[in-house]
Amino acid sequence: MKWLDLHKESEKYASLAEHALREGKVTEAQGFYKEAAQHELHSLDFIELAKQRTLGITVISTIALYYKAKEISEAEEIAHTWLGKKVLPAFANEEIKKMLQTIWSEKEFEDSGVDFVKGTVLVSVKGRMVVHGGAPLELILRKIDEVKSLFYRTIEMQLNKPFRKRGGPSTEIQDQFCPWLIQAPAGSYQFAVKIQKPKVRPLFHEEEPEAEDVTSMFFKILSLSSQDKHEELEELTPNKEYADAFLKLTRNLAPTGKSIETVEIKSVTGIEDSVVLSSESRKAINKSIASSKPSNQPESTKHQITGILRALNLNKDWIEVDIPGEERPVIIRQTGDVIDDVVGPMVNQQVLVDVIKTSEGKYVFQDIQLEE
Amino acid sequence: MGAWANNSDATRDGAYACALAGVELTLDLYAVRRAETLTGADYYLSNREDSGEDFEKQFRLEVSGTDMENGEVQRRLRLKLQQLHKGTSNLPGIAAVVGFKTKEIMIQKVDMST
Repeated sequence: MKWLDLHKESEKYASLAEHALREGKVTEAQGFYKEAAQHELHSLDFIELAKQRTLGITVISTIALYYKAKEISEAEEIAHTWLGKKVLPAFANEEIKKMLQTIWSEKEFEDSGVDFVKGTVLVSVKGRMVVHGGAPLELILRKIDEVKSLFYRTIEMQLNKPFRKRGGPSTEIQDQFCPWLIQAPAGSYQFAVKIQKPKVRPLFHEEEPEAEDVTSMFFKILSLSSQDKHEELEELTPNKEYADAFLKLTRNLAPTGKSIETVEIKSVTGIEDSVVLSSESRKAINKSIASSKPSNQPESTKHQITGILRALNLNKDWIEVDIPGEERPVIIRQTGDVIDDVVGPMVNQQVLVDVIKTSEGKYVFQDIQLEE
Repeated sequence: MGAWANNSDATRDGAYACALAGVELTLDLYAVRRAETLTGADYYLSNREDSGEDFEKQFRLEVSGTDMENGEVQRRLRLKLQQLHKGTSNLPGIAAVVGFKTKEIMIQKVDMST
């Protein structure tokens, strides 16, 4: 038996595991991953120490496969053993250290007894204002809030709840599907979000969605919203209000390119595709939003106001924006379809507001977005 | 593509297929195995002369796919190249980005010694 034979066997089982995962057969997939991991582990006995790259890659692969098989302790033990041997090339040691961080987070959660919905969402922020493992607090808090808003909207949609225009999600939903912020391996700046499984299933009776679907739906919505695919998004969502809300929430998350270049959202397991939001995505979303709300107003009446959003009263249909250099704030009326979780995080932030200026000199609301 | 219920899977798998065909045609490199990591699958490539019995002379392929405009294809290629440069692997790398809307495949090699 040679390394190659065992490695090929390992690949065969890993491939079967992926097929099983695609069919939603999680337990079966874990079984195949375990088989794959065992073959990969065995193959290590046949690699000469001089073959540094082969050795390093195979050790990394073994740990990853045990992790995917949910054999967390086994993965951890192998990682420690090989780090301790001090025979691996530098790239492999670095990779194994990152994997250990992920493994430890997973173990912490297992020990805590808190059950989570399948799939951790990893959010990675990159750009001028972001350093390795660090970023301005304000910026990250805003991104966390935006991801949370998208998750709650996804859950509400799956629960067939009427579209919410005002306030946050109901306390029942917040109690049942609680998003957790968890430590992520160091990257440019990364944080991870997991959704806690519903504690008491009967609360929503037959309406309750499969909790496992939340993350998968979250990715589908993000993916469609971030591209120019408004029609497909409308097909996926029960009504136009939901589709528009997802577009605007995704636009909030997308960077302008000034202080952040990209926001990448991906599944830790890599099963779902990742979504990379950039200033290009923001432009595409703006295009979708504009096309979904055609205006017959003459171009000469359309203006864009830049300033700080100081106050809002959506029940009374207005927002107030402070414009630098202007003595008095501008009141913009007829905010109509603006929803709390889109505009709420913009208070005291620099915003761009599209308006129509009436012949009486009043401003009528069209659209609002953050200006970094 | 229509056979795939999940649009993300279709984009990803379509990108793998196009990228692998692209590197074979342009660089005469062939996929010899998948990379098993926690962050998604890439491929290892080698040339015809390589015995394929180990990873010592292989290339790591990083693939991305998008159905957005050309600007997004170029941006993704830059990102992939940055990833390869910053990556801890000392294997020589190749980044490939497939643009389905623009009908193009952008491929670039990264010399890890630079």
